[in-house]
Amino acid sequence: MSFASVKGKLEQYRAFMSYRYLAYTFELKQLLLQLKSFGLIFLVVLGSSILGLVLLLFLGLGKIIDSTDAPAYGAQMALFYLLLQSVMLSAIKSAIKNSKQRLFQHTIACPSWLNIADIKLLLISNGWLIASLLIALDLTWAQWIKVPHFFVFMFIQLGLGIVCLYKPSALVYGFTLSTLFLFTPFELSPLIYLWVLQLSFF
Amino acid sequence: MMLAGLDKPQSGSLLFAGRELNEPTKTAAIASDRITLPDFLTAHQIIDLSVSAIDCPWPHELVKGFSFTAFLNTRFDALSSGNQKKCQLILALMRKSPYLLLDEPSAALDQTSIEHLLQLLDVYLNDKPNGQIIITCHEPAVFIEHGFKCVSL
Repeated sequence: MSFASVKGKLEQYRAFMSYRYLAYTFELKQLLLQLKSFGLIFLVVLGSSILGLVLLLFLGLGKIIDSTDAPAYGAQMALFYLLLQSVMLSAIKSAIKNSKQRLFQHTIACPSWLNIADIKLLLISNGWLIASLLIALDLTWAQWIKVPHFFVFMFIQLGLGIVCLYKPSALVYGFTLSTLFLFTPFELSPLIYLWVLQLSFF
Repeated sequence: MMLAGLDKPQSGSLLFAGRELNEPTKTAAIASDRITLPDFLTAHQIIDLSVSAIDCPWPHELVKGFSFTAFLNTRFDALSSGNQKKCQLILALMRKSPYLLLDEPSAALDQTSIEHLLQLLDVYLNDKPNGQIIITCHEPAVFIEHGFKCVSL
């Protein structure tokens, strides 16, 4: 492949990606407009506690990391986080995939570009995964070795996002199996709990 | 849709001119109402995007021929159905693909535009020896009169 053709391909890809960002922001704006009236109620009721909610999000992630003493509780917390993430991603799925113009996208780009664009937009939309990444970046090497289950959790967050986009029916089976498993009277290590969660979904 | 590579067949393969086609979207161009164009963009932006993404020349002649210039800066959702159809046809014709699939191309088009479309179709296959134009429509008379072969489904 010559340099000119690579450059041409890159420009085509850039044009396609800029369209996807435009479509994504447009659809998100439309969603926010629909939520505008609810937003005012939320702002009045929860306005003062928004900071607290953000802190609670990180506190919950802390519980997932430090679940050596109560692994079942940590795994339940992880499942709750995954459930919240799935609800949020399901709500904005059509914006991420630009579902309405999916066929049009197929006429201007190869299927792999569509998938790359989906994953890129998924990563910037997944606030739950971003929060986990922020915590993971803050961990020292010694801490990383002690909490391998947290990396399995982040992997599940990423994988579940992709499942949510392409095979949402798998979420129902996954959550049902995981819930049944988590409420059985076993005491396992946090890593095994999260491996089983992963197996339930993928 | 399958011929244009927009729907995946459950089994089997697609053959064009006796050869298996791996990238139908590059060989077949389609104009259909089923392909929802981005209604939040102007016609100019949609054409620009397609030109950049598929790397083909800007279709000045087609735009002029369909008398579409005045509507280029109108958002797609604000265009009349006839102008939306013209936009779809411009997007399909500008690709110069050997296989052209047109779904109800005359629907909502004015007489002048239909005549212009027929003129374009007359010369479309001149430089495409193995090419085909496939039209699906409920009112085929105008195309049959022009020499198209009618196959009832």
